[in-house]
Amino acid sequence: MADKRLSLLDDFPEEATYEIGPGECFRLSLASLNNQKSTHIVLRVAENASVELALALFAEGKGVINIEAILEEGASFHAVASTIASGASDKKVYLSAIHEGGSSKALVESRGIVAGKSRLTLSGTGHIKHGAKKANTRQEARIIVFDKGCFASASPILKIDENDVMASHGSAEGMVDEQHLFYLESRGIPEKEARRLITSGYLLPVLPYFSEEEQAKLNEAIERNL
Amino acid sequence: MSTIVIENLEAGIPGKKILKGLNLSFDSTDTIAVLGPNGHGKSTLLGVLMGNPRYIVYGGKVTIDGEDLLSLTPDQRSKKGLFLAMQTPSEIPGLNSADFYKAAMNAHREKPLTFFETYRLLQDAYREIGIPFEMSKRNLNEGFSGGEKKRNEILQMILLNPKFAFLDEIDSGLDVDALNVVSAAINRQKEKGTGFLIVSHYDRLFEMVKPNKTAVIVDGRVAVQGGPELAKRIDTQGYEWIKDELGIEIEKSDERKMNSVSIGTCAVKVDANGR
Ligand SMILES: Nc1ncnc2c1ncn2[C@@H]1O[C@H](COP(=O)(O)OP(=O)(O)OP(=O)(O)O)[C@@H](O)[C@H]1O
Ligand SMILES: [Mg+2]
Repeated sequence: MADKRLSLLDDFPEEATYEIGPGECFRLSLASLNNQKSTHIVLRVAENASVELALALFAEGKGVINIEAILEEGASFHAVASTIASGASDKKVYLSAIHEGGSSKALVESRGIVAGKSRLTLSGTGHIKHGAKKANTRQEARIIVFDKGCFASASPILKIDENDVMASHGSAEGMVDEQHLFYLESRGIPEKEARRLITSGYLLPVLPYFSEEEQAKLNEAIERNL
Repeated sequence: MSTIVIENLEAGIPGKKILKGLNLSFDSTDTIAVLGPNGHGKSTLLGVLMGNPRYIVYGGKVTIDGEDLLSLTPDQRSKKGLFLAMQTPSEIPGLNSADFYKAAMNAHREKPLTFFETYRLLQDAYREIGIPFEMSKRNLNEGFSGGEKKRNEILQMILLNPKFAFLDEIDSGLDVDALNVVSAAINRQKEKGTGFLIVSHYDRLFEMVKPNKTAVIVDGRVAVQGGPELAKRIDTQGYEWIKDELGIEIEKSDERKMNSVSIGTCAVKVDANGR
């Protein structure tokens, strides 16, 4: 079974389609560290193939990131995404799973932090097409809002055309918990650093999908942009 | 020696005064047993002293060695030597305990600790409070048992070595061994010159840490102050005698609740479609 890996830092294709053959496994890791570009990626995932997608969108800037996985029978798609929209960013992140085949699985976990005057939308569709029996799809989106002037929308969508399926979604937008901040501050940690400690923990789940060298760069980008 | 003076402190939450003109002075040589019926303002007092944003100060003054305390942010108060062990410490997902302790200790120092120094200090403190060092790898308070959270607060007190430590029901939920460990840690900290306000409903802890003073908070004020014998008397006789001897009315906390929700009840009826 082929296991392919592709890691792109700052250099996203404007448009791309990746074909993942039957039974193959594909790991795609994308990170924006210094500049944010838009991208539209289609992943065609054949029978029993799987895709692990990791997205670390940390650069300040504007961009629409639209990634769709089209899943055949028994295919699976797992997406882990961390986005920082700071300074004057405007980011829209759509991660969709289109279940064409039965018993296909998708789990989309998208997290974001929005600060300054930025705008952030985390969305995407879990679409189970007619005939895709026993498909299982889950869409999660959570945003932490730093400042009052931000715009945040965590709005995953489900579209279900078949009965015998499992589908769920969860979304939340909220400020950094005031009592969490107070707890750290009461130990002498200044507010800014307290926020950084609390929220960088929140972005960490995406790191293990990158190489050690890349992780160092990602950490740097978190420090720079938070 | 340091001194904290609280004068006529009025504080509470939006729309409600909980502390209603509270006066209390103490030194870093004092260990004060703070008692009072449920819901009369003990946690509020400690929270206001530490700068918890949940509370609003309506009036009065608090100084530490003559300097205004209430205008300082919580981290500045911590750097002045204040420490609060919370009644219910927050669980912080994704924040590694050791990273947090390191950040806290470094915040109190000019030169950051080296990896080795941090490790030594943490290891010693974990040994002192009798929880495995392994726990430092876990997220802060996440999934910790009630007793583990309390020990963790004392661990932070040891690491930060404050001038004043405010302990809010640090003994609740502790097993017998943990209570011994915690009171031993408090006693060692006293020897280092830390002053204490210790809120507790049980005499057990006071037996072990021997406060030199007692302050009883009733309805947002210090109703009575005295020596250690006052705490003893409350342990055996409760609070009723305060009313008889001193003429201070003590509302029971359930009566207080009923009073405060009476307006809310109407609103609920409207909301719930006449149910
Ligand atoms: N957010 C809030 N909303 C409404 N009432 C509140 C709020 N916070 C505190 N109170 C009320 O303020 C009063 C004082 O609370 P506080 O926690 O200081 O009491 P306490 O003396 O520490 O009690 P206990 O011994 O039970 O811990 C209580 O009646 C409590 O219900
Ligand atoms: Mg309390």
